Amino acid sequence: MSSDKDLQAKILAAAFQQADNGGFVKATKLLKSSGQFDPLAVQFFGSLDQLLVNEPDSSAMWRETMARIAACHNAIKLGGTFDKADAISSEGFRENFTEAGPGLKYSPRSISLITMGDHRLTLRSDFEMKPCNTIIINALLHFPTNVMDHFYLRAEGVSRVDALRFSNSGVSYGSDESIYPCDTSSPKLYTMVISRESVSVFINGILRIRRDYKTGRNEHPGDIKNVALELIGEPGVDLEGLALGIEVWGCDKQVESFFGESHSLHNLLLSADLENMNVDGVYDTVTLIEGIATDDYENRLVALLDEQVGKTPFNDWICKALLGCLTGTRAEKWNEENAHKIPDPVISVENVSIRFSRTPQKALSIARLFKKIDMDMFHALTKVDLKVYQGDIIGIIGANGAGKSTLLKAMAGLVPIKTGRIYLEGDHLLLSSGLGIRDEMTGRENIYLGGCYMQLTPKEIDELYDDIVSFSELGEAIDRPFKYYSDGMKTRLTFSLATSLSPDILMLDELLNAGDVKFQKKAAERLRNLITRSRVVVVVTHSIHFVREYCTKALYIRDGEAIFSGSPQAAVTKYLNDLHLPAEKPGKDGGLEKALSKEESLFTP
Amino acid sequence: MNEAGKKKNVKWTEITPKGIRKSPRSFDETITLLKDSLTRARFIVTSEIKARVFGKSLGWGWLVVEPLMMAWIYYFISAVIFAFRPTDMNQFLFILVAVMFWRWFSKIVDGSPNVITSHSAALTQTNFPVTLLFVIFIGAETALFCVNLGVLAVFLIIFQVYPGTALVALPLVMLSQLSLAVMLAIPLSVLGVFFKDASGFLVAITAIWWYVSPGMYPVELVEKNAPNIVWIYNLNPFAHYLVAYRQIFLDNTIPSLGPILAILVVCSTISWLELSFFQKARYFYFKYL
Repeated sequence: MSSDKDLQAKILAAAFQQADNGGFVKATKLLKSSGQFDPLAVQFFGSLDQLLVNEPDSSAMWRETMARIAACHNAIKLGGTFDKADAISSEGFRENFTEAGPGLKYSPRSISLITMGDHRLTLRSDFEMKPCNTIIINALLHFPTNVMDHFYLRAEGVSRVDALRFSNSGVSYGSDESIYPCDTSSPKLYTMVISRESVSVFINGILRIRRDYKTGRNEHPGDIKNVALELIGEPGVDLEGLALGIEVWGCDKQVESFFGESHSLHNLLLSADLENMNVDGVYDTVTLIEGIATDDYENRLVALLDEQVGKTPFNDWICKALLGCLTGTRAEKWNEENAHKIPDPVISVENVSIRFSRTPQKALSIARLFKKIDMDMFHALTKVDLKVYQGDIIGIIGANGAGKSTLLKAMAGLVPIKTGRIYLEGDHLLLSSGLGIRDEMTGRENIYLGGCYMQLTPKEIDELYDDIVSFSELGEAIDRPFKYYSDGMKTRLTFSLATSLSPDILMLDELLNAGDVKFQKKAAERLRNLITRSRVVVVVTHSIHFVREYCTKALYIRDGEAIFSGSPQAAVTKYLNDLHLPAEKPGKDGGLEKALSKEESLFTP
Repeated sequence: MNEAGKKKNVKWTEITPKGIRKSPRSFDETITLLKDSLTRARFIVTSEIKARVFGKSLGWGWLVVEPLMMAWIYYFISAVIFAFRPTDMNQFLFILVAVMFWRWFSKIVDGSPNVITSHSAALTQTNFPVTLLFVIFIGAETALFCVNLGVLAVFLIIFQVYPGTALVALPLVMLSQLSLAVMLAIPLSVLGVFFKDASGFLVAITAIWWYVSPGMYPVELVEKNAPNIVWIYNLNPFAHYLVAYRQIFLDNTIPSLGPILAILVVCSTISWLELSFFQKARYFYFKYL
């Protein structure tokens, strides 16, 4: 890469960073110096900056800029809130949107969507949305306080909903696992450009996510009928999201880059990331911006792949994504040459299916045998594949009854599998609450008893005893009968006992809800230290925070099927999509499965 | 197939629909495992017994009170109901010896359907060996029986009946009875996984078994009243055990060890086969827990 291009890339990256953080003036200067941005785009940054700081005449400038951009695409405005004299005004919401659910608060310049419990608040557009080949939705949003992952910008089509989900630390496209990390606490303009072929997501005018409908991974939502903001409440948590304005444009042309051509800019950045071996940057670019051309960078991608193979833990999903950027023959060649370098997984789950009876207690009941009633069987797991490598802390997430614990038990050899194979390299131990502990015995006695069930001898437990007691923070209560412990004390003791060991493969089933917030933090830290002693930790948990913060890999299971395996952030995103966007049918993931299986075939020698 | 992992010095586990295969253990590892398992079993047995006396006002004393009360019941039956004269007090010991040893057996058999189900949490959450679970269950019952044996010894001393050299045969008879109990307990515990009502049926069956065994009456009574069925009667192992215990404790004579040895060999062999089978089958039937 020439030093000129390298410099350009660095300037662009800095400009994008500035724009992301609302530093439009600096961004504009940087872009001008890079020579890569057209004047209209520079004007756009300037007007957005003025709009957000509410300078005099900013509304007029904003409208003029948008009119100029729209004119480039023959786009017409379908409706929105920016038409008032003061573009940022809650009046526009009053006139053009209808609320459903309690918690909407109007301020002069914004509206707040607030939930204080388990309910939904939706603000849906009233204006007519005529069918267009491309719909452009601009939303000026702001999340200065806790919103969890529960705020949505929805484009409600005839056949499905396309949505952006907002958290305090990122934006994700609601139809798959893609997530763009950014600070959403400052006001930003989020733009969805939905054409017949693709959906593009811009943040402050910069392309951040692109998905192609033609790949089959996501379907086109059909003609967009409404635009909506939605906040999904969480029991016991107060959430708030602010909207400053929304407008919707439509045009008959296929438009992808509403704010000007972006791909060449991203190619420049990709090139710089490859040059600097910034694997996270490359991974984000190639996975978030679908269709980005990588043909010119194959050699550098291969160099990056070579580097990844030697890393611990081995991030197979990153390698799969990078391999997916190579041409078929090049990928096959790389596979052939490097198959022996790919580390052996410590845990390998291959095509595992498990069937259970819903009523096992009736298996041999006289009534069933005489009436010849079939066993009510169901698939607890269906064709699950998973590879866990040395150094991995893998989080298994999913709703209750999804099959998380069943998979863990199958890995521990405690549940028979119907098809497939599980291979584990090293000693393994599954720990869950209970574990042979007796209510009648004291904490001290239960440490020894539980230890015995965990295959320890009393002498070995002697050596661990002080550490277990001190970590569990039970103090003098250690000599009280277990049955008189609070639930928190019980879980703390079990967790302390469980994590005092260091088998090669440690499996923890729902042990992370131990105690109060302080103890949970301490528990997570202890678990992280554990990985230095164990080769692999597998955690079944409902703690999304833990998965995001501490796991190196995650598996999301839904109705017994492995929906996503790879980046913890992405797995959580996928899980939240299912929780909050139930209208999406599982079948829609067929494309993802196809895509993954394609990558698998490339990856597997 | 990850054959690379199956190289030497690497522990591996392979799980397929056919079952679980593990890397082979060395002789030293097997011996260490055996020793550790016994240490663990001893500890868990103690815990089990502690749990049984937990919350009882008499605490550990309850373990003695229970056989004392039982002895009192049989004393009442023999002294009050049957009105034996004091010179016939051997009749009380005659019953007590049989009852003590029978209860050891019946408690193991009656309790066996609950062995697996009552430890389902540990078994479905850990790889705790089923074999060790049986050792613990039988160990706990045997430890409690030892307390009963102490109570029996006290009564023997009170009634000035002092066993002699015949006691050397006692371990063999007890071992034979234990092998019979284990042989029955293993399949019954698995049966208990599928038939939750097995325990209820068993109590009735063992009660009948007690009455067709010479516990309350001498075996000579059967030989006298129904000589044609004596050979059938002798198929009942307790027709030999109870007679043997009385001979050892009350008559100080070595019992006929032939049938007892035969039962020991047959039951031990069957028990070993059962344990091997059920340890492997655990993988398949534990989903019913």
